[in-house]
Amino acid sequence: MYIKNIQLENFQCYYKDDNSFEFQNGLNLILGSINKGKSKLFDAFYWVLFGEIYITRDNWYNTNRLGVIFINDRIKKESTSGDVINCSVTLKFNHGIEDEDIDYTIKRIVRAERKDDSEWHNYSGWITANSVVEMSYKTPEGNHEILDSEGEVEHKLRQLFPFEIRDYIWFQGEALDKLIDFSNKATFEQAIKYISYYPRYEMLAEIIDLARDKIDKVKNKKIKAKTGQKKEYERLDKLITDKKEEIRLRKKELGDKESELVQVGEKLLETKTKLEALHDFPPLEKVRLEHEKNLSEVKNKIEQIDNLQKQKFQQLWLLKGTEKLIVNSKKILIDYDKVRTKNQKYTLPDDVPPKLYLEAMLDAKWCLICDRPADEDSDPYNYIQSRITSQEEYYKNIEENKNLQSTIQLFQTYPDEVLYKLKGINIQIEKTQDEIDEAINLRTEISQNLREAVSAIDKLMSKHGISLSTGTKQSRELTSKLSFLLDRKEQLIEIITKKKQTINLLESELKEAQENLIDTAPADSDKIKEIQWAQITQLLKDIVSHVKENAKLELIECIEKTANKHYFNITKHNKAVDGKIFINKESYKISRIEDDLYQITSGNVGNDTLMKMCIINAMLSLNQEVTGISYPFITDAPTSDLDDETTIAYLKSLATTFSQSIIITKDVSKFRLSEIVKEKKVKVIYELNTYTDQKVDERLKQYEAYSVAKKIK
Amino acid sequence: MNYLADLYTIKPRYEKKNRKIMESYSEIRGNLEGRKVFSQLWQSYAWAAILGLINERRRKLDSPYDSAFDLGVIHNNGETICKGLICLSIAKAEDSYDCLKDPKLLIEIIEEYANGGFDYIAEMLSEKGDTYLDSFPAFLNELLDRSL
Repeated sequence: MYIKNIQLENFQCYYKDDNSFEFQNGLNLILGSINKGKSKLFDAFYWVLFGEIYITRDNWYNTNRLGVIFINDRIKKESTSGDVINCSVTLKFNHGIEDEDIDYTIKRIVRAERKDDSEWHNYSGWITANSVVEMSYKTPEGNHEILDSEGEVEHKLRQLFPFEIRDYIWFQGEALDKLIDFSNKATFEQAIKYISYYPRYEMLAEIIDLARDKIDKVKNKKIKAKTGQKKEYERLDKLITDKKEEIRLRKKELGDKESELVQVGEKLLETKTKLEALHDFPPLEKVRLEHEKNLSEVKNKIEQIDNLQKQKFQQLWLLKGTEKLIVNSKKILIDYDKVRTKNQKYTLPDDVPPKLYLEAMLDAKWCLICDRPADEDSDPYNYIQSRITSQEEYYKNIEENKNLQSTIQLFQTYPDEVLYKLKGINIQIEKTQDEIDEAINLRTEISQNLREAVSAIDKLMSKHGISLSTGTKQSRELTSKLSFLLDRKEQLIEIITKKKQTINLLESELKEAQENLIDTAPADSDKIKEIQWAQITQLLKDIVSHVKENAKLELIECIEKTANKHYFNITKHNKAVDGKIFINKESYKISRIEDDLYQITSGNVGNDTLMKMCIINAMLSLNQEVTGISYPFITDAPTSDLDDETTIAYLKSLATTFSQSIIITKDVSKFRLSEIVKEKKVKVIYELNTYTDQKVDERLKQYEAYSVAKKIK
Repeated sequence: MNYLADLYTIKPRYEKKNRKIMESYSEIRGNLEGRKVFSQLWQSYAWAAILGLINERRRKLDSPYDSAFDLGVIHNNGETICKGLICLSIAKAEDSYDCLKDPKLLIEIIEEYANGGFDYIAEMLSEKGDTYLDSFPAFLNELLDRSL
């Protein structure tokens, strides 16, 4: 099946009727940046077929309840009272049946009449009819058929596009999370049910069950009519009914327990994964603590040596290099006495005669030294006076010299003292420098080791997605939880085994009762053909049940393998993306795992989006292979979360997966456009833009602009 | 007159502009584990004086000048340094014996060499950058560069 053409008239941002898109088999791209009409074009596909449009971040709504909001604003504004506006979408597509190609045309139209000249955007200013849909096609016999009632068209569309598959072949990118939600496994279960071939087995099993019930009823009715053992018949009939009811109840209980077992299995896996991380953690933590301790010690040591150096510097090292001068000072101090006494001439000692005698001589006015008169102002008198003055000076100098002598004596000890201390200075400096250099090197080494330990811990924490700050506490709790879960698993297995045994027993009792019931039939009961039919249907039921179970497992494996093939092809350019898609066959839980089966819990939105798209594409392509029907794949912006390269790879993969895909996206950059145009797998490219007759530098109102499409390829 | 008693009560002077250099490298409050090289103010003065003495840099003080500690403080907190300064000043005195009679002359020698030492430090910073002496290893380097 493929879409040939879509034409829009006054639909949403598309003005008038000159909006036509031609498509081919293969990959068709419709490109446009924000607000160019991409989502509205997607709405057009959905609306023409099903009468609904998608309201952003909400859901699909039938337009019969939306008034005129989906009709183009510009045409509404241009209208006047009494004008009738047509809003329509026409879709042409081809569907092949038994080597015959049938072209279908479907048109949906809404007419809106402007009541008065009140504001054009006012809902009450319009009379809007419900949408009308018409479909036409040519039958293989050559008859031209027209379906002009909603019911007929809906019936035909159900045949062409089964309800269950619609959401998966045609979806808005933002609706992807509802289709496949990794945190809600029921979404995957539903997807399998709706779009894979597996439901046919379930359908077959149901049909057989229904047939079997009807056959049994007819068979039993005939036996009852013919039997000669009415009481026995009644008893067995009741027994059979009771057994069936009991089997039904036990199967329900069994189902509940099996579901619980699956849940317990998942929790066990989760708990074990967390515990394993915690097992790896303690040795790493021990190493980290050891390095931190060593680092602290070496830092303290560096600080101590630094302080010691400063202390020494302040108290002694400052004097380094002054040794020569200090030796000189020693010489000067030692030489003092020599210099002091060297030039001394012999003279009468200054204290001879004592002052007492000198004063007596002055009083007597007679010099006893030279034995002559010493009258005032005479030479002898002045000489005696000068001797008195000298003596006073002398005694004064003695005191001073005594002080100086003691000072000199003290100072004479200084040079040796200082020189002694300066002796070992170089060795001291060298030794402390060596010690500090060694400590600094050690600090560098320990810091590096610590960084590596922390990095290893971070990697572990990131891999398992758990915080290890309360690791010990968690470990205890998880160990206890693991023990509880293991016990519960054992219990459930035992319960399930017993229930299965009970069901088997009930079923064999049921079988026996049914056989006994048949035995109550008279001798000519071989004319009751329903007896044989019942046996045949039972056989068929057993076969289908067995095949169904295997088919489910096989299907999930196929989906996983095909999805991973797509995933690998799309991401092979990006070395940072690792892991593969894993689908749990019992629980349907989807995750990304590494080769060693560790679940990768850190991911990003882009990666999750890509996984979902690969899974859907895998299911649709498998469905195509089995059913032989290929639906056109239409989607609006599934690539918003992907980078450029991945977007291009994804688009190319669609070309090989679906016979026709129509992708509406903003995510092909101008830089990659020429590459896309040249790509052989891309058959058609349209570019959407905004047209306005207003000035471009003014902010546009919705009615002032409309979308236009330009065919690039 | 008691020479020593007088000597230790005299406060060596410094040009006011050099206070900035002293404060740059001394913890004012005597914190040994602070980030500056010297824990007391007098130590950077003594360091300047020694640099002046080793490098033959002597200059009379220009006013304005100030003083902050007496030689007694240096003696009580750094006896070896104090004795060293005394020896060095005696070695450099033009008439060593005058300075041994008058303590003011000895202090004057220390002052003038400290003054020259501050000039030397300022030139070093100008040549090698204002932050050259911000770390202790730079002081050690200067020390190791001194020849005997």
